[in-house]
Amino acid sequence: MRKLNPKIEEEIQLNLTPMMDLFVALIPFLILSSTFMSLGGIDLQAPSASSSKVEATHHTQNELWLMVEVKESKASIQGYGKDFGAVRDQVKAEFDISELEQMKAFFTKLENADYKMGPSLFHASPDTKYEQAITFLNVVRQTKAVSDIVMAAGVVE
Amino acid sequence: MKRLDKVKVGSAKLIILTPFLDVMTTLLIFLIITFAPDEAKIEVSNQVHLPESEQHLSGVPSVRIEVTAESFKLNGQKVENANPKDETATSWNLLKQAIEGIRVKDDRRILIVADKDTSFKWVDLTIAHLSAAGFAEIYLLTSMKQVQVAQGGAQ
Repeated sequence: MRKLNPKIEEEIQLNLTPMMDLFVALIPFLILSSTFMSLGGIDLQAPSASSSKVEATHHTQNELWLMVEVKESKASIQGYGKDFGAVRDQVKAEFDISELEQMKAFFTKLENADYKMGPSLFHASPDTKYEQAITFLNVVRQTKAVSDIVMAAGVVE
Repeated sequence: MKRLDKVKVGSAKLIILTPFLDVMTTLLIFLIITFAPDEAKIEVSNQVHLPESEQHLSGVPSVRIEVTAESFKLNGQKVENANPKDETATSWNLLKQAIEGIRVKDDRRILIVADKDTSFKWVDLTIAHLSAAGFAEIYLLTSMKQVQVAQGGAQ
């Protein structure tokens, strides 16, 4: 009698589903999350480069140019007309480093007022720490109406 | 009666995925390596603690200067014999020469890196000298401030 002993061929199949899950889900997630860097920066205009650029732009009467002077933990802001000509007495304020919200509100008020804001001149005293200067610069930079921030650096021969 | 030949039931046609996975793996690794943002190439010394700001870096200049009270580092390399406290022009000339050596033509941008406790005087001096050397745009490197979302609704 013939013994019926059919060979059952077992096919080994590699289950690729988990690997495809990794490629489709995990790797795009890693790509997207890795692009979030924690570095920021504040851009300024150097003193010599700003002068020619500024002359070519604003020509309106109601221009407001700001000078921001930082001395240690205090910032004083003074408004001027075009080319830092006429002093605008109504635009003047002083803020401590703990009053940044008030400083932001001050700039917001200037934005909403009928001024055409030009560049701002920034100067910090030698006693000021870099961190303090950056803190105030950050607030000035947040004001979208301020076109450029020019560093009032020392004169070099 | 002729027996019907055994019919293989359930024999699926295998799709060979090996070449596809090879290409995909190679491509993804290549993309991950080449897609690194410019900010990833900025190296800051361990002893430098950056001040915080909420501004994003709008560009990454090719020239990076790390300023301390005692020395300059240009793209991570210390500039020998250059000292911001030097009241003569020697140190500044050395710095300018070092910058000219690595400067990309027509790139008038420069990135300044300084510790948050550094006196602004040294940064100010550096900017003044760089401005005289023709750099028009100065970028001050900071770390991103984590903005806290206001909690609570209207009261």
